[in-house]
Amino acid sequence: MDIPGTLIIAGVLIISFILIFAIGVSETTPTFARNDFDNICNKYLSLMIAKGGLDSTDKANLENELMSIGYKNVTITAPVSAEWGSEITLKVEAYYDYDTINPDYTRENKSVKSTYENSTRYFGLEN
Amino acid sequence: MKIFYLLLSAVLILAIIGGFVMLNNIIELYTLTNRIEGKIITSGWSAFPEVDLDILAKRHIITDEEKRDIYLIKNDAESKVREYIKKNLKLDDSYYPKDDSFIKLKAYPVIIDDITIYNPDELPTIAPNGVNINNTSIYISLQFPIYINFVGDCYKKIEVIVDTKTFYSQFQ
Repeated sequence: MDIPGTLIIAGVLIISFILIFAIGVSETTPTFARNDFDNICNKYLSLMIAKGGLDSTDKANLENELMSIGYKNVTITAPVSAEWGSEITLKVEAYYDYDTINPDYTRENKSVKSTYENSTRYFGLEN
Repeated sequence: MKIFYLLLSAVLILAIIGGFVMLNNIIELYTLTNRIEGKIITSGWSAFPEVDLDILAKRHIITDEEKRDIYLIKNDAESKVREYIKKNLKLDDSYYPKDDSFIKLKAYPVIIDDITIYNPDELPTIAPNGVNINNTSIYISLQFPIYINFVGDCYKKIEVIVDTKTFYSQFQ
């Protein structure tokens, strides 16, 4: 039986598109997560500039926010307080686990480490 | 005829792969730009402790309420911005990315096009990117090197405006 050419194209394309789409989505997931990770950390660095540091509640809130977007094993390094004009650094390390699909259709769990490290100076001002 | 259809399929698959690679590039570029933008804003904030204390001491004689914002010592403020851009992007003294920098292209320097500090006596004004400036602000424009598939090595420009009002509005 002769298979029509258009059917070959349709079949190959559908299978390829599904595979490429699945790989594409799974590989871009950590990139989107990294974007959210940076935005959350930037927010807490802004808080540090206003307060001079992060207390235990702030650190717990930061950890919870990162865990809510899928990060695990969060390590936060930040001063509790600082002198006006002195350097303050927020360092956050965390791991993001995600599933990816290999070209042979097998699934694989990967873990990627994200590190945020930004320094600035404390300048709490009365507005 | 069947070979023709198979070749056509192969071409279309390559086109789909190419499309996804480009889409992935765009997403990565957006994420990297967002990451660098955050670091530039952070570096800009490092300049705000360079307050001109002489003018701060005379604020009571500045009758125009709009001009009673903080004044920055421009040279000191600019050097702090440069210092923290280097620190946060992990650049050497010539602005080339160090080995541990997340900027992958190490062969090209980060180019700082402009750092302009606007004190209250120069306001209101319009920044080079067309944004109205009404408060003490720092305008920073720089370019960072990036590799893009199908394009090659190139530069991406970032412009940010940092001011205390914007910063404090996050907490009000």
